[in-house]
Amino acid sequence: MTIRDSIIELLTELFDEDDLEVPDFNDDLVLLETELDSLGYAVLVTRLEEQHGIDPFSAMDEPVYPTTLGEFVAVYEQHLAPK
Amino acid sequence: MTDQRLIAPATATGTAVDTVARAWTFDDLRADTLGLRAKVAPGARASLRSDDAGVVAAAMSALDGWASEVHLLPGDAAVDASGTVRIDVERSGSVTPETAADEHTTDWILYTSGTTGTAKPVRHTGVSLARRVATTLRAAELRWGLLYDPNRMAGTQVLLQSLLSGAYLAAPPLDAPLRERVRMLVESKVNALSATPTLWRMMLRLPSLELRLRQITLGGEIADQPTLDALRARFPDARIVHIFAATETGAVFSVTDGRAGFPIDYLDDAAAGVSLAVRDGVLHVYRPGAAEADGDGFIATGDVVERVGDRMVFCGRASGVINVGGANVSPEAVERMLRTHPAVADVVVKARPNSVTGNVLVADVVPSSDAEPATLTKELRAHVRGQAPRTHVPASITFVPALEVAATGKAER
Repeated sequence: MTIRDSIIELLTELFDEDDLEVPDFNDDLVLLETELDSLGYAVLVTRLEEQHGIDPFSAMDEPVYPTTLGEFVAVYEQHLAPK
Repeated sequence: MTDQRLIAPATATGTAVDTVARAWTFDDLRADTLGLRAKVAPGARASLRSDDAGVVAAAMSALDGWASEVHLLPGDAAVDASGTVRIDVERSGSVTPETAADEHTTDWILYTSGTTGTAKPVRHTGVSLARRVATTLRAAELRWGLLYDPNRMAGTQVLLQSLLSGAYLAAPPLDAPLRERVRMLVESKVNALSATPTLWRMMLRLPSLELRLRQITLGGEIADQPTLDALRARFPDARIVHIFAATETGAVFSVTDGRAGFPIDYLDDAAAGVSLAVRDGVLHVYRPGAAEADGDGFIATGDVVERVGDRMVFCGRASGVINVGGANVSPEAVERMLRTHPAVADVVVKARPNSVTGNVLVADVVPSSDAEPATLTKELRAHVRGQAPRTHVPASITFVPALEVAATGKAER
């Protein structure tokens, strides 16, 4: 499973848990325009940290705020890529 | 020796403290068989490092009213007791001086468990340590078990309760697994036991808890209603007491009606035997002269309380509040909600740093059934969300076979 798959799986779970409408997940999806709020976002980051051992946002020197799902996935891909 | 308080009644006979190493009789304790008075000059300062309840009882019996101060050093803590006579129980002699000592009021120095890692000395007297001990005829008939370190306040109270009332005390090794220690307590026919709510919940889950308890004491953590109810159902004939105490203040009051929290009457003048006040939601205890006391003699306990009907209930530690996205969340409050779910045997809720909201809550849950983790996580999050704002919902739940328990018997946070 790629990091993209696991992000989408976790997002689906979160929307499902909160009885929210599950959006169509594509790279242009603007995360803050979904019903996911900052608490949901925090839960997503926590669970990804548990699965992949990293919270890229706390590891950053310069803060990056991804707007779309594509950018969010890219942040994880970048941090998980072999250096 | 009018100042000697920490000694068994002259009529007490038989075994006082039963350990794996040896059984100490009341005669042994009265006779100072360790020869402690030969090692510590009258009026001297001494320190003892032993987790053997018999040795601690022997030190109390021999040195209260004899030494000027005695430090009880917990085994795991680095403490500075320089300038004291270290009592080496391995080289115990049998010489007892024949001259009577001057009278001394002995200070007993206990060390806090110190969540920050540094043990803090707290000074007591024999009088203050013995204040809450009941020495009735019924008390002498009880057979106590010790699950605490005898050097810590909670353990010292159990030790003194048995010693001063002339009752039997079984003290299994502290490092043995709980199941093993309980087996020894059953063999010793223990019928009175003091433990933290976390330890009680662990014991209630043991496959066989063959104790016939007449006295149950809870302390050290919040005694919540489900735990009190489970003990009442399991031990219908026992007297169930939950005590409120802090190392700084000693035992403050106890509650015997089997309901969580304490009656609001206790806030009226000294209804509980001590003056209490609630300031900014935090329970304060009147202890004039104490170093930490405010100008008017009250000490902040750090425990947040809230009025619910005719009760004041404990909500958690003021210092333990977790900031989740700007909202203050008490982890203990979330634990209480989770514990009301039938699939939860026990739980501890902690903070985890998070780049989005500063912190999130994570929970370690001991499941009471073998439900599928993903399903149960979803169910438990929904359970909390049904009772509290979303900031209270744990971001992640880990299922564990048992909680980590500190030397104090409290769940590790």
